[in-house]
Amino acid sequence: MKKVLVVDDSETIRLEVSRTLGQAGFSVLEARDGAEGLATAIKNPDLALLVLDVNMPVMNGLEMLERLRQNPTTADIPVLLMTTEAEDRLIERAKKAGAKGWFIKPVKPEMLLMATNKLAR
Amino acid sequence: MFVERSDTTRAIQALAGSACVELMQAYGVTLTPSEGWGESDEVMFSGVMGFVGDAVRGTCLLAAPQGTVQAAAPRDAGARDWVGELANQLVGRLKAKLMARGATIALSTPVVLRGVKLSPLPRTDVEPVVFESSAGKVLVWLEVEIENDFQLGEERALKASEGELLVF
Repeated sequence: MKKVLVVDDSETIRLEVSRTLGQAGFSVLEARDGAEGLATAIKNPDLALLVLDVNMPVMNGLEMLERLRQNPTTADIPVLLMTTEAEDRLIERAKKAGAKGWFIKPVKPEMLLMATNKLAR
Repeated sequence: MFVERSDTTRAIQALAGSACVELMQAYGVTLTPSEGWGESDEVMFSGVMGFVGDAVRGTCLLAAPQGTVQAAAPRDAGARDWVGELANQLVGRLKAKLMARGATIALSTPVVLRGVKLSPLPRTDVEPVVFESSAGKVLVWLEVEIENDFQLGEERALKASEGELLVF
């Protein structure tokens, strides 16, 4: 079963992603911020995809993405950003750090599933 | 130097009002303009977000009765969490509208209030925007400061908007 990690400070968003991807046969792990997400990713380097919010307390999603890429254990995990942000500078930063995609909330469940199937390894 | 100017605050508050209508519609709640917030005995939830940029900075508050928050929420969502996420998405939409008009802001993370008889006490003469829906009222309250010579520009298209996926 492919594993996906969703990192978002909204419990509701985590629940929605877990429900959508869980029903489609993915095993879904959750984390509440970038620091918790980074620790979870390091423990689970076989993740098929990481769904990552940008604006979060403790460590934001872009910082987490850049730290993932610096760690050989997690450097190759595909990352999909899912955020309210549409700022070019932030999108370019994610692209430069090797993200696979950028979703602007709100995200419909069928779109999330389509993106996950497309981007998961 | 930053100043409070009512015309620009009103213009940005109108953008926040449009953003709120679009946001709530995306979650199945249709809003229409209303007047008078009143002091209700209903339990209210409120999400507050700060934002700051080179030319614009301020605070945005979204408030609604618990029933309105729940009407716009996915199944099993908690009102506390969801009103924070709605405030986050509201200011995200406001940011996009400001960017399209030449102003970039950075966002904080939301804080949430719960209580009864919540009433805004604006610092300026700009009153918060009130909407009505079949599930209850929604209030959007913005207080903004701008760089003295700042003007909102003509709207331009952005690379991506809400609900869109960019694949790299």
